[in-house]
Order: sequence, then structure tokens, then C-alpha cells
Amino acid sequence: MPTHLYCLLPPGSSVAPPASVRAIPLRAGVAWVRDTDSPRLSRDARDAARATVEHDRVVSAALSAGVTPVPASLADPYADDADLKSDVDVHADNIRLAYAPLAGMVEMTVIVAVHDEAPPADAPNRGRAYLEQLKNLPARAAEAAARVEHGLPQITDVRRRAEGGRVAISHLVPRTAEQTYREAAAGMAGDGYRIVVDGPRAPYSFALFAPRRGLITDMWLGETNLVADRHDSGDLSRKNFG
Amino acid sequence: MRSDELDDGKLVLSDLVNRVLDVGVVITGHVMISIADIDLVSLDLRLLITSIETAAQKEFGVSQPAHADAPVLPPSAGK
Repeated sequence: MPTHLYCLLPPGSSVAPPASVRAIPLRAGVAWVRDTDSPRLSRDARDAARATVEHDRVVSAALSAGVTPVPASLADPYADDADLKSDVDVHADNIRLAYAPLAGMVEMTVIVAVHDEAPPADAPNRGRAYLEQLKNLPARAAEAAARVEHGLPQITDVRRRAEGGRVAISHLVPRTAEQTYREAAAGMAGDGYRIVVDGPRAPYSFALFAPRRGLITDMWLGETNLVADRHDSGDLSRKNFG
Repeated sequence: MRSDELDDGKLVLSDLVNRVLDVGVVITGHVMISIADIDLVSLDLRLLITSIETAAQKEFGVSQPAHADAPVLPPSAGK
């Protein structure tokens, strides 16, 4: 029966998975999986949205239990448990190295969104003005995001994703600093853009196991329309949040 | 429900999909489209996200998850 992989927990983890989820001990850690009827993930957008939320809900259960997992990306399931085991075992050494920097950490994200009202119906050259707005959105979003990020604690581990009029800035922060992070982000609200704080979530942007491809630690590096970067001032994450 | 809450939920959902969904899943659609020799990777992704946002707004509704301060989807949406 096809096997869907949710996440990998550090070796020896004894956290009980949610109902209908099985825990399989592997060399790379404890895999949380479930049996599925379909050998292929649905490409339908609605199904993908549901599957994404359900996938994250299980991964978040590990996080809520106090263990920061290496999440798996939402992908086509494995043919069976043996297929999963052989794929994960190949990357066991890399995966085991990924747990230590994640321990006690969560991913927090600030989404900065810029939006313009459409030009009024009686505005001259309304269509052209609208297209100009669209063209300028990415630059305005990047500018707003830079302003917001400047006001946040300087954190070594950061990933940025830009698309159209929004930029998402993800940070790896200590669990105990969640509230501090929220307050800092809320303080950066400003005119011309909106801020949404999301998290805590598993560290998808920092250590993601992609079935049949392996461990990805810089998932946004080199992707079209997506930007990745790091501060180069050393590991300040834990220090800054004390 | 306030409209800004709905908008926040859409932002979070689309960003979550960006993070969680395997790149290969999107590339499958791209490979089929690129036969016409037109690079539609980003368009393909945006179409997917737009469709998801529409589905979230019209069908799923939004709610307040325990682990985020922005609404995403109600528990029943994943079943």
C-alpha cells in the first residue's frame, strides 16, 4: 500500500503520532507516515490545498509535542514502507546532522503584502495606470519588506520568498522567543503595506526532506521568483533572543 | 468575519503551499506546458496559488488555527 511521509523526528523520539499516523524507526530517525489509497498526489488545486493543510497539521503535532521535526515536502507517496525506507536511508547521514541546529527552534514568518486600489473608473489612461501599478508592486513589496526586516531582531537563519506584491520572510527562532518575535513584527506595521505573522511552524524553509530528492536546506536558493539570503554576521539567533 | 481576516488567511495559505508543496509537483505541469516552447513556470505556480486562494475563500472558509495568529482553514478542510 502507498505510504505518505509527513516528517522525520530525531532518532529515539518517543512522541506518539496522531491517530491514523504510524511511526517507523529508521536509521535517519523516526518517520511519521500514513497509508494512502492513491499512488499519486492529486494535482487538483483544491485537493492540494486540503492535502497541504492536513500534512502541516500532522507535522505541527510533532512540533506541539516539543520535538522539532525535519518536515517532508508534500509529494507523491512511496510505493510502500520498504520504498520509503530505502530512499530515506540513502540520506540518513545528512538528515541526522540536520536535527541539532533545529532543536528547540521553530519557523516564524512575516508576510509583507502591498496592494493598490485599482485606478478610479474616470481616471485618464486607467488601463495603463493599472498596469504600471502591477509592474511596480514587486519593487514596492521588496522595499516594504526590507523596512520590516530591519526592525526585526537580526537573525542568522532567514529565508525570503517574493512573489508579486508580497514578500515572506521566514526566521528560525527559539521556541521561547515566539512572543518577542510577534511583538517586534507587530511594531513594524506601516502605511502602504500589511503584515501577517505566521507561526510557529516546522522549519520547512530551513530543513526539508523532499521524497526521492533528499534533504534541502536552502530550498529557495536559485528558484525562479524566489530569493534566498543569509545575514553574514554570525549565529545571532539564540543569542539575540537569549 | 472581517475581510482583512479573510485576506490574511489567503496570504498564509498561499505561502504555506509555497513552502510545503514539493517543487516537483508543480514542475509536472510545467513540463506539459513547455512543449509550446514558452516558459510558464511562474505562471503555472501563480495559477495554482490563485486557484487555491479562490477555493479557500469560496468553499473552505477560514478559522483561527492554534499555532498561528492568522486564519488558514477549518479542521474539516483537511478531511
